Order: sequence, then C-alpha cells, then structure tokens
Amino acid sequence: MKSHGLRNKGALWMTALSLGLSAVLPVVSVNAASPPTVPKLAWKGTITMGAWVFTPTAPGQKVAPGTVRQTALLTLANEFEKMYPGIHIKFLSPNYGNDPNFIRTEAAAGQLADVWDAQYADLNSGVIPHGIAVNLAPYFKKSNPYVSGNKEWGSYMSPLGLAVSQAPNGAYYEINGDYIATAFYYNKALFKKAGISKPPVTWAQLLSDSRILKAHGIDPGAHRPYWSWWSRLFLSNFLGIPTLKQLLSFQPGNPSITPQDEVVGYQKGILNPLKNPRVMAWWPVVKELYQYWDKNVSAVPVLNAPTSAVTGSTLFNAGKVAMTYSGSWEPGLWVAGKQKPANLGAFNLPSIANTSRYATTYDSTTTVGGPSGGFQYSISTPQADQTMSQPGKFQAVLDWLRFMSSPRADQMVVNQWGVTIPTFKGSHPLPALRSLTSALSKPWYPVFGFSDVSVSAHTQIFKLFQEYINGFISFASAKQQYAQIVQQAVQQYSAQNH
Amino acid sequence: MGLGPKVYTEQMASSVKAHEMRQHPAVRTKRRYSWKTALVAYVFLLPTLIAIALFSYYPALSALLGAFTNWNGFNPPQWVGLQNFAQAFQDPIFLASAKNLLIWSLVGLPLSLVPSFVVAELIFHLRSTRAQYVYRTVFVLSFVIPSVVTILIWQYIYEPTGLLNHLLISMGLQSWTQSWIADPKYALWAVILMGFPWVNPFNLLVYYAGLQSIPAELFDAAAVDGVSGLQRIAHIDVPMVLSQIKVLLVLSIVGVTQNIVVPLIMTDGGPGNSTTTPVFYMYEQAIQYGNYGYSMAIALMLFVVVMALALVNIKYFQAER
Repeated sequence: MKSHGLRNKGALWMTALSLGLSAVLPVVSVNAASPPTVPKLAWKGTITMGAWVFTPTAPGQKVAPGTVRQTALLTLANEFEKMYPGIHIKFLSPNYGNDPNFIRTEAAAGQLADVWDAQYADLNSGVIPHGIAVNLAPYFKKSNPYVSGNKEWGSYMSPLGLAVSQAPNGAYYEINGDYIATAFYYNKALFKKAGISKPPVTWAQLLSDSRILKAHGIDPGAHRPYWSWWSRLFLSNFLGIPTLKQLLSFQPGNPSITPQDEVVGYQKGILNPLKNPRVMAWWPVVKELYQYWDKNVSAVPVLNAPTSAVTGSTLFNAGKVAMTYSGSWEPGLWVAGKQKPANLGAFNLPSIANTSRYATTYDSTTTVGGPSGGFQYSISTPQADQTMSQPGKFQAVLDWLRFMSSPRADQMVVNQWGVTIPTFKGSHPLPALRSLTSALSKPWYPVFGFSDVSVSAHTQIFKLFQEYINGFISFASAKQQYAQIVQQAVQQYSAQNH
Repeated sequence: MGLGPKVYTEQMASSVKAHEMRQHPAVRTKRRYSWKTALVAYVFLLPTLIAIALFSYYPALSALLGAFTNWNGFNPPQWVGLQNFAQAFQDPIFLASAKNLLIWSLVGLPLSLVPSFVVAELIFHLRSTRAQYVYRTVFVLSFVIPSVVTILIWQYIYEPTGLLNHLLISMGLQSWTQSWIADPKYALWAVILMGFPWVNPFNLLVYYAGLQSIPAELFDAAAVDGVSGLQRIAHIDVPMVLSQIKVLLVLSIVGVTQNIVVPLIMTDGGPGNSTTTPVFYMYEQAIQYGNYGYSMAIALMLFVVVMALALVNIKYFQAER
C-alpha cells in the first residue's frame, strides 16, 4: 500500500482529536489472506460496484492535494478475478451511490449497480425503499469461505455496526465496516493573537474563548447548527446513564439506541418534550455558542445548502475563523488549504457537565460519528438490478462482497483512506487512530431526538432547531413545534412498524 | 375637442381587426387545400404529437392516477383513494405552503406585470429608434443570465454581511439590518422581492411587441386631440395590449405556482417552512422523502388550480370575441 500525505497528516491530527479516549482495543489477530478452500462459481461476467470514497483511482488520474490515491479495492478485485477467471469487477464513478435519490432512480429503472454504498439510516428508514437491497441476514449466519476458520460471516462484524444496520423488520441490508469520529478544530495562531494559550476543556471556557476572540476582532467560529450532532452530544448527556440504559433495555441485547427505542421512550414519557424538561433543556445552551459564532454560516440551510454557500470548514481552512466543529475528514482538507497544518489543532467536545442543572457527567463525545463511514455496502435485488436475475450471478456477487469484507480487506481498504477505522474483529486501525476503537467496545448511547425516526421529522427538526438557534423563534414556540413534529413522527413510525 | 380617445380606440381597433382577419392565413388557406393535403400535414405532425403524448401527457396522466396511491417510487403502488388529499388538508406544512403561495401570488404577480409594462412604455415612446434599440437590448440581454446565477447573486445581497446590509449601514440605518433570508419574518418577502427592479425581459418583449402593433394613426389622432401621456396609456396603450396582459397574467400565475427554483436554491423552503411553496413541498415529498403518491396528489391540486384559472381566462377571451 502506498503511503500518502492525507494518511500521515490525518493520522497526526487524529492523535490530537482522539485525546481523552482511552485505548481499550481487544486485539484479535488478522486472518490469513488466502483461505484454504473457496467455492466454485459457475457464473461469468462483470460485477459492477459503486464504492464511493473507496473507489480505486483510475490509472494515470491525478489526485487533488490532500486526497488519497485509492488502490486497495482494486488489489482485492484483482485477487478475486485471479481466483475466478471470467469474472470481472468494474468500479463505477466515485460519485456513484450514497445518495438515496440516485439509488432510488437507478433501481426504479432496474439498472442499479450490483454492489453499492448507502448509509444505514437511509436503508432502514425506507428513504431507500425496502426491496432495493438484498436482506443479508440469512447470509450473516453462514460462513464466509474467504476467511479461514470462519463459521458465521456476521460473527466478526462489530456488534455496534450490526446494531445500527439492523432495520426495524430485523433485516440487514448492508455490511458495515468502519467508524468515523468528529472533533472541534482550532487555529492556534488566532488563539494566540487573542491571548488564549490552550484550547477549552469546558463548555464555559468555549464560550469565554469565543467572547475573547470576538473582542479581539477575530471571528470565533463557524458551523451550521447540525441538529443530530448537538442532540447526540447534549440530549444523550442530559438524559444521563440510567435513562440511557433504560432506553437501551427496550431491545435487550442491542448495544445501540435505535429509533424504536426512541419511540418507546416517547410513549413512556422519557423523550416527550412536554413531559420531561431534560429533552429540550440543552437547546438554550447550544444557542449561546451560536450567538458568538459566524451568522453567515449558521444561517445557511443545514440540509440542502446551495453548493456555493460558505461552510465552517471553508472559513476555517481559509484562516478566517478560529474554530469549527467537523468530522475526522477535516485534517485531510488542511493539506489542500492555505493554512499550515502546524498552526491548526483539534480538541474534543469540552465538558458539558455543568451547563445546566440537568447536565450529567456522561461523556457523550463518541456519540457523534460512529459506524456511518464509507464502508457500508449493499447488494441489489433483481428488481433493482435486472442483471441480478442471471442464473448464478447473485452467488458471485455475494462471494465478492464476502471476499472484500474479510477483516484483512476491511483493514486494507479503510486504512488507506485514513479517515475512519476498520471495525471488523481482526482488523487493525492506523496506530494514530487506535484510541478511537475504545468507542466500539462501549455501549453506544446516541439519542438522535427523533430525527432518525422518519425522514420528514428529520427535515422538520433540523429546520426548527436552526430557527431557534438563530434567535428567530422563542423557546416556547420551539417546544410546541418540536412536540408536534415528534408526535407525528412517532405516530407514523408506529403505523409503519406495528 | 373632437372624438374622445376611447372612441378612437374602438373604431380603429375594429378596423384593424377586420384587416387582420382578411390577412389571416387560416382564412386564406381554408378553401385552397383539400383533405388529402391536410392529411399529409397531419402525417408530418404525427411524430411530434406522439413525442408530446409520450413525454408530456403520459407522465401527467400517470401522475393523475398516482395521486390516489401510496407509492415510494420503487415498489408497486397501493391504491388509497382520497387519502392523500385528506392528508394534505390536515398537513400544517402544506397549508402553510398554500398560504405562502397566496402571498407570493398577490405580491409577485403585480411585480411580474407592472414594471415590465412601464419599461416597455418608456422604451416604446423614446423618440430615437436607435435609443429604443439600445435600451431594448440592454434589458433583454439579462435574458441570457441563468436564473441560478441571479439567485446566487441575491443570496449574497441578502446575507447578514451582504450588500443590502452594507448599503443600509452606509446610509446610517444600521438598526434596519436583518438576516433577510434566515429570519422567518422576512424570508418570504425577501424571496418575493428578489430581482429588483423586477423587469422581466420576456414580459417586456411581449408588451413591446403589443405596443408596436398599435396603428400609428391612433397615436396621431390622440396627439391632434391633445391627449396627455397618462391618458394615452390608460385609453389607448392598455386597451390595445390587453390581450398581451391577459396572456402574461396566465403565464405569471403558472410561473409563480410552479416556482421551485428560488426556494430550492436559496432557502431550502426555510427558515422553518416560511418559504415553502406547494410545488417545493411536492418536490420535497417526492425526492427527499420518497412519498411519490402524496407528492402527486399535491401536483394534482396545483394542476386543478392553474387549470381553473386558465379556463376562466379562456372563457373571458371567448366572451370578448
């Protein structure tokens, strides 16, 4: 595998952003690359794949500064083709997939790729209609013949990845093999100019640093008020561990809080904004931060912003704001930006323990991000992809998915990108990202605040939250509207999944 | 003073209409061509008609049926009768979007029709034909600017640190500065009033063509009788371009009703739902939520409203003849 700038620099900065997370990675040895026996495949032809961020870079194609020349999947494809002469793996454009509208349109015409990328939330919520992706649950219980000694394909997948990937009907429409993180990023030079020597460790310090920066004529920060990030950080914290465990108990054995848990939680009053003040007590806390941060960014529509709209990331990389809050892909952008990476740093969510009488000591940092990276692949049904009705093709495609989802393959592919960590047992993350794996071994308590219950609620809650954050509606009005949206979402979810 | 301008208008208009009728191609050719010749013409038209039927009418008819189904765009649709329509009338977002459309129509339609007419008048009555040509070109050139570009420019103008607020500050009106498209109190007005000075090149051309078709004798006669400029506009120009105004009114209604680009690009229907229009909501339901059945029900309701307005207009035209 070739080394590249992003990996090295990204790794360096991931060390910083993952401060505070202890490394509790259970080390499992990587399985051998060559399985002892492989199934015979009668079908011959081309398997098409939309690999999104892991799409192999075309030979001779120049890559932009800060981006990675992807080769890992191509290497795996070559191995598979060598094993099965007559089968060819064709990678489609990096833009292929990961967009529900695109997937739905392709599927409606029966010409979706054989294997494609989609976010689990889109597959499970029905935004990508059921019937487009094959339910892999029965195959997860069978062995993966490309991993020596394996008896159940799903046995080495991370429990967290499996938990979030399971649809309300029990189906698994994808494999889920990586984990992504987020952090606050800051400009050391601008902090120094304002006389601030170190990044904030508490929410109060974050606010006071923002005030100091502003007093020195420096734009303190920029970020669109992305509801589901703040709800996971704050709502999860404000509910506290005992309540989170109660939510988790609604589906015994499941390591993550799901939309179903939220719906039950609402019905029991735990997540009803009209019955439990904790549900919305954090809104004014977040609003205070945005009073200092750049209004040009916080006012831009969060979900479907014009491509020309300014972002926190662009302002930060141009050195125009002192802070932003973004994903672990951010350091990769610094390489291409005007700022010297040495002038930039990262810090985790400052402690929010004392922000309200409802705040708890639960560290919710890892609730944002999670198993929603790029390694999420599905197989098309014959309805979505007419070529899948060819005799023997499904088995060939399934075997390709099995082959490229061994722990060895997961590690190869995910680490080359350098932004996320592979999650299959037996795979190893890049050394600098290793501390992130601790999150995989813990129960995951992300409370999305119903934006994951229905796509309509998702849109409405994002818009409502932005209105409130920007000071255009009162808390009382926001509470009333939020309660209404949530009630409708719960009714809709209950009707669809009764 | 001799005959009033109104009488002039009616007499001359009657004369012009009779002349036009004699010159009308349909009148001249009616007796000349046999049915065989007509058949050949229809055969030549057939490919176009088939294409229109296939790509325009078939999708529209499909949507008509789809409005009564629950369909996610992939799996077979399920017949739900009038459920989608009942849902729409209980849907607070759809009702809010209908209210937004009403406001947009009441304010937007005059903005679409009046400034273009005023500019057409000003250009038409310039003495120099060269000056007419230059001004006409200047206004019509903006036709080539994609609407998306215009919207993005206005987005910059409306930004909290954008041109409009800078202008207000420079005039000492700092207290007037606002987050124009981020504040639900102002967002709808901001998007409606976007495009100052609201001169639509297409409307301008239509009006200008209408003014050009007014017989010069009418203006001469009015001038001899000492008719003022405003009287001429009121009693000659407006009545003579009334048919253009009616056509532009219908087109503007259709345009406002189907205006999705501005909310889609500029505000995403927000903040909240303050700039959501029914057609935007229709798009959102179909493309973002995958509720194609409900989306088509909204489309059908829009179709009925626009069709009703168009029928009223057609009936009005027929009555006039």
